Amino acid sequence: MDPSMHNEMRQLQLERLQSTINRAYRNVQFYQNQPTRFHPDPPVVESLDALNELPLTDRKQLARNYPYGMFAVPLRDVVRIHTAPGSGAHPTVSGYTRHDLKMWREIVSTALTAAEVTAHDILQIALDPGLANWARDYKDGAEAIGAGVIPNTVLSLSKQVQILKDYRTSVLITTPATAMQLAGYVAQIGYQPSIFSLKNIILVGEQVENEQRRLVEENLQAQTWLHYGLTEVPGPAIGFECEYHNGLHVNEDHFFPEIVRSHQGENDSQDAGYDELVLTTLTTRAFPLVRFRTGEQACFADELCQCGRPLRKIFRLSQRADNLVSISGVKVHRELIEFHIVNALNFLPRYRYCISHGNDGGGYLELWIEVDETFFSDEIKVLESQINAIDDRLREDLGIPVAIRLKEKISFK
Amino acid sequence: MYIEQISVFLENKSGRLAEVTGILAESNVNIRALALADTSEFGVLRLIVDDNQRAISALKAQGFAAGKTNVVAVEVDDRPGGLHAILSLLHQNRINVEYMYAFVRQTGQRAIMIFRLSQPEKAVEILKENQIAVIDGAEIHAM
Repeated sequence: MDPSMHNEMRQLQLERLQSTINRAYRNVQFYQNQPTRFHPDPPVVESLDALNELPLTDRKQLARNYPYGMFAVPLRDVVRIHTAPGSGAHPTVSGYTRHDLKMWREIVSTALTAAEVTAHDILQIALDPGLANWARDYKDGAEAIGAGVIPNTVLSLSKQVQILKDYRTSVLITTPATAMQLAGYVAQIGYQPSIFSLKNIILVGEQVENEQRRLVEENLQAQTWLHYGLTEVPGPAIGFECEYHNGLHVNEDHFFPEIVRSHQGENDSQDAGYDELVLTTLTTRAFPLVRFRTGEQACFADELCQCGRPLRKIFRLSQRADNLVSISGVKVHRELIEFHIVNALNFLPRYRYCISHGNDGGGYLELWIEVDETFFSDEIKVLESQINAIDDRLREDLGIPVAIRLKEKISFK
Repeated sequence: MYIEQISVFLENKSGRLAEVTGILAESNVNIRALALADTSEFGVLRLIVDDNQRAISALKAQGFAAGKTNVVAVEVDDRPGGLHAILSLLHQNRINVEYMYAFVRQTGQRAIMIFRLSQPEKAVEILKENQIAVIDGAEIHAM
């Protein structure tokens, strides 16, 4: 790797960082009110290292600025608005200018090109409705490369497989969970991998175990590539694997990554803390984010990659740093679950949730609710209508399957 | 004019029902009638017992969610059409039966039906107007 390329990248990042901070602190009230030593002026960041003087931004703050509070441009300049599940009452809303969409096409196509996607490919997108925003971004990025895109549609497993086979799909973009389901289904119905034209599978949205990855590669006879993105803001493919398949390159032209020692608990001294990935957008105009806490535990690779890209690599660590669980790539906030329970019932019973997997391997959110005096009714229909109310709300908001189980007190011991 | 029924929430797994009957037996509570409504995940047990207060406090002490509801108990003639006469009367007056169950008195020719009704007050009025015997709480608990 040529050190001058590395220096060029840092110079480019610094320039873009300065303009991002200017834009954010001049146009977004939330940032203006942040206590920096430059207040009320926008902070002057003279080096990339000086960024760590500025306060961090988290998901709760985004939620408080619903819907357009975090936008740094007038609405007339916004050409697309995305909604993603938030951390409570409100979803997270992000906006894109025409220029932003162009940048996103570039970000996504850079990551797809690294996964050897070309204009000769037929690219199929199979993501849950909860990842609809990513599906659109992937479609745009793949179209920019010139690949033939089969856009995201909600289909049964057998229909997905039929399209995979009949349309001679060569690139599949999906979550590890869905890839596992497909791999299982294909083996179960006895299809030989040779009937597919699949070469590359891009796995997005959640972590994948090496073992699962090997199984997918074997059953579907394709290479897999990991991508990393943010579901709330601003999109997919922020990190991507290169041909060495060892860590995620951060798209550093567009994002400045930091690893920050964070603490979850109220009392920092009792809490060892964890290394959290923090991202600052460098090119986004409508929705600049300064030092956004991703909740992702990660570390930097020590050395630059043999592939020669001047982009640092991160490794995701297994545990999430916050209380989010990920189901088919959709991040589920505890606050959001609580919000819908309270809304449906007008009180918060004891509850517990986890990710479960059905017979077909599909992930769903399993939510246990304790039936106590307040909740209880002698009529089955009343109990069921309460379950349905929570179920409907969570499904609509998250776009993933939900199973609610009423439990006795003893089940919580 | 109503009868107090107790109801208990149960998860649909083996041993839960026996747990309830065990607690009631230990508390020296006698079960007069019972009905279990079940779904794939859970059930609701409805009971008429001789001592509601004792039953409820014993169940709650063991962590069960239990409640009390007013239901209507009616004597039904032990002959073809006996129940139908009551149900059609309720239907004509647009009263909905949420659920019902039966028990038989040891003596006598008549069965007793327990009704959970959408408008119990109106129902009792109508039943009485039509000379149908509505049994009161004291009588049934003491049976």
